[in-house]
Amino acid sequence: MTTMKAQDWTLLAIAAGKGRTLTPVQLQKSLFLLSKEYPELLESGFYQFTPYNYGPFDVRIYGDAERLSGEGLVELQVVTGRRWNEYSVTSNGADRAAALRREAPPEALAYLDRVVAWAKSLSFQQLVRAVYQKYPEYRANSVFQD
Amino acid sequence: MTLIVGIKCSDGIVVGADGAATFAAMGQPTIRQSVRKLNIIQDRIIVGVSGSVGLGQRIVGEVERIWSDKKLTGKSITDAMPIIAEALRKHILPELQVAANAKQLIGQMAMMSAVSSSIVAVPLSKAPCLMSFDQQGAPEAATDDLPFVSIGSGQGIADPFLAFLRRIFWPNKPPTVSDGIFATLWCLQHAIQTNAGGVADPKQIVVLSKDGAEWKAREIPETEFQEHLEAIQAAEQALVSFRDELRNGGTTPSEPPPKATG
Repeated sequence: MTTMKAQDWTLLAIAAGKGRTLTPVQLQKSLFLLSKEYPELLESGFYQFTPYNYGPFDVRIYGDAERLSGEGLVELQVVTGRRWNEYSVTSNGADRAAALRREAPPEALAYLDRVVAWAKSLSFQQLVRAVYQKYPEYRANSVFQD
Repeated sequence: MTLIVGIKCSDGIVVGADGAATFAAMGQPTIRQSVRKLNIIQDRIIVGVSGSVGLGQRIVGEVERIWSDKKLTGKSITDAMPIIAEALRKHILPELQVAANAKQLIGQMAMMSAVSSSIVAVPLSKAPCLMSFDQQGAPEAATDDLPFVSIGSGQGIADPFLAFLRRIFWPNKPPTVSDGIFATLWCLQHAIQTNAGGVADPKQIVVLSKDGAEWKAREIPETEFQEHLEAIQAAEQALVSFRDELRNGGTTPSEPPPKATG
């Protein structure tokens, strides 16, 4: 079991964007999939995802991202005209992420890198559908129910 | 300047509002401030008012008084509408009368303090109900056939947009609250970007939905808008893709069959 906090994984996920921003859905679903694949390597206080409008969701992720922004580790970029955030690391955040990578469990870290790259390669609809397909129980409260 | 939207959903009510209040002196705009236009009364009722701020404050107070005095207990929506309308008119009609008199002296700007519309979402006989009241207090209920209402200066943009969304996404059944939040945010976003005279961020969304056995009103935090706003962009991008595919092709289009030979 790692001593890393959930917030540390949020920073690692954002840093895994490798210079590209993560959108809200990419950040949420990447951390969700990490929690599903490697729960034994994450702290007991890791995010608890509930079925929400677009599948698994934990609002604390946004709170942690804002805290990281307050610490100068993450930049919240407001998409012009839309008032929603995209997430990227600052240079200080990249340094902090590099330090965290040395203590993070390697398997979980490698998976996070892969799942963020995979999430970035998909459209919004493709990403949400892919998660629904693997975890259909998270459709329970989603938009556009049959 | 205001836009307030209400949607009657299969599992509750969604009400959304923009966040710009325009102050004026003698009919001339002075400043714009952010303001919260939706009120939650005793965790059960949502009231949104457009138009005169002072009259709106009294309307909110009147709805709270009716609820506290249990005048809506056990009432159906058709019984409740005239009760609420009568209570609102106690405030509306005197203002209209004063404005009519003042109009002779100061012109049309006299109407600014007398014109107000409101949206009320309230549980009645254990069902969530959505009503609007026009500038004379005349009520209208949202139904399954007409599930959305809007008031304010942005109404001219909101109504056709909501009708479009309904035709595309929910032609045969009502939306869920999740769907309603998506539609309300998109409608507000569209009106803000089209900017019908001062409709602006921040957006506010309040839902009336079941919490255990009770209908409860709760405000959706802005953080929970994020994925909806991303979904809206994806939906708009889907329309762009339609145009692009016609222009440039996606996959190689199938060739028309050649004419028969022989």
